[in-house]
Amino acid sequence: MAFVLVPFAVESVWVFWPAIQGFWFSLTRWDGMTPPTFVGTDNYVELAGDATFRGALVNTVIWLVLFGGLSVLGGFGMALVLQKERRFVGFYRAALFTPVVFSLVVTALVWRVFYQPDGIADTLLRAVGLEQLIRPWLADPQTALYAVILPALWRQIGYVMVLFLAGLKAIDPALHEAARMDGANAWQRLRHVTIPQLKGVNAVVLSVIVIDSLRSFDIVWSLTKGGPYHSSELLSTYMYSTAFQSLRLGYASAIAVVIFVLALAVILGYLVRAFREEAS
Amino acid sequence: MNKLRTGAFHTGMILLSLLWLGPVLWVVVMSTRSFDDIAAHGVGSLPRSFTLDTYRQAWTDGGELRALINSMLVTVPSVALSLGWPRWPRSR
Repeated sequence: MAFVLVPFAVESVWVFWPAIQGFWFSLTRWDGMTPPTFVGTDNYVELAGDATFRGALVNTVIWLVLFGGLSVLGGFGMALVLQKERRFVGFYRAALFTPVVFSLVVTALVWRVFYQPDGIADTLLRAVGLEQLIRPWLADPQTALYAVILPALWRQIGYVMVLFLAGLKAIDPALHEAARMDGANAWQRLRHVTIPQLKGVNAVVLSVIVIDSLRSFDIVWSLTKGGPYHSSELLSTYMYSTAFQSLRLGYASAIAVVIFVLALAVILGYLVRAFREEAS
Repeated sequence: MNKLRTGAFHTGMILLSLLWLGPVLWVVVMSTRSFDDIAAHGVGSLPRSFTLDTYRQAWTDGGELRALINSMLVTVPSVALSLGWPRWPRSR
């Protein structure tokens, strides 16, 4: 009993209570110094008409699709390619996992030098004769968001790969053997044996990806701070600058609630589907 | 045919590994170049100098020792606690 109650008490004080407080703050106007004043749903009404917020929402969806989608595809592909034990496979796995061990702030520092004028990106493009493509990658509103997604993907693919590798290891090889006996080709085995067998891992990967996408902050903040002109603004960076630069903690809490609802919606949607499949 | 596939696999994976390790290797190389060399030839140039003085500077002027101790003070307890050490008494 104590093993449940003690963590629950700790969680309550440090997680649940501040979370509930966040909902309350989203209904107030608060600068962090004077006591918060209750304003009802004013913050949400303002959010609905806030063009920067809408831009950040669209960018967050782009981020979810590109960063989340591509890291799952890349990670799953790499896990499939590298699942069999053979020579040098350990080295390849380690190479793809390397970026995960660096703090994203360090990664951002390195990539900022790559992107700087006459940095590595420009040097490489010049070397292959594509200098007409050269632009201020992080300062151009057209490219800033994608220039930030790239290093985030570079890191995340290795992480997702490790999750899938663990899942693939747990599949009974006899299933593949039986499918092969029945004449299933490689694609059919992937579709009807591997992917259904990975159901548990898929739930973990989906949760991790959605959570990582919605809380992506450090890499964006250290590369562009959401700029230029909010072109790489995500909900998380907008929330941060609203709270701690504009000192509008009530409004920022409303943004935080939106992020929470988004994460919950995606994950609950998946869980409900998974449970329904199990029940039928 | 099988040999061809193995060759293609290793070629592809070596290229991919280089892409992934490239930025890391670049940082390692940059850390051994002198400031004047980088300033004169740019960050994308091949190294023309080798020095370990950067490490001496990070250690003495950059306070690397203090940072290392701080990192350990955070890492060791958090790994130990989340792995459940000291072991909780278990019923036998």
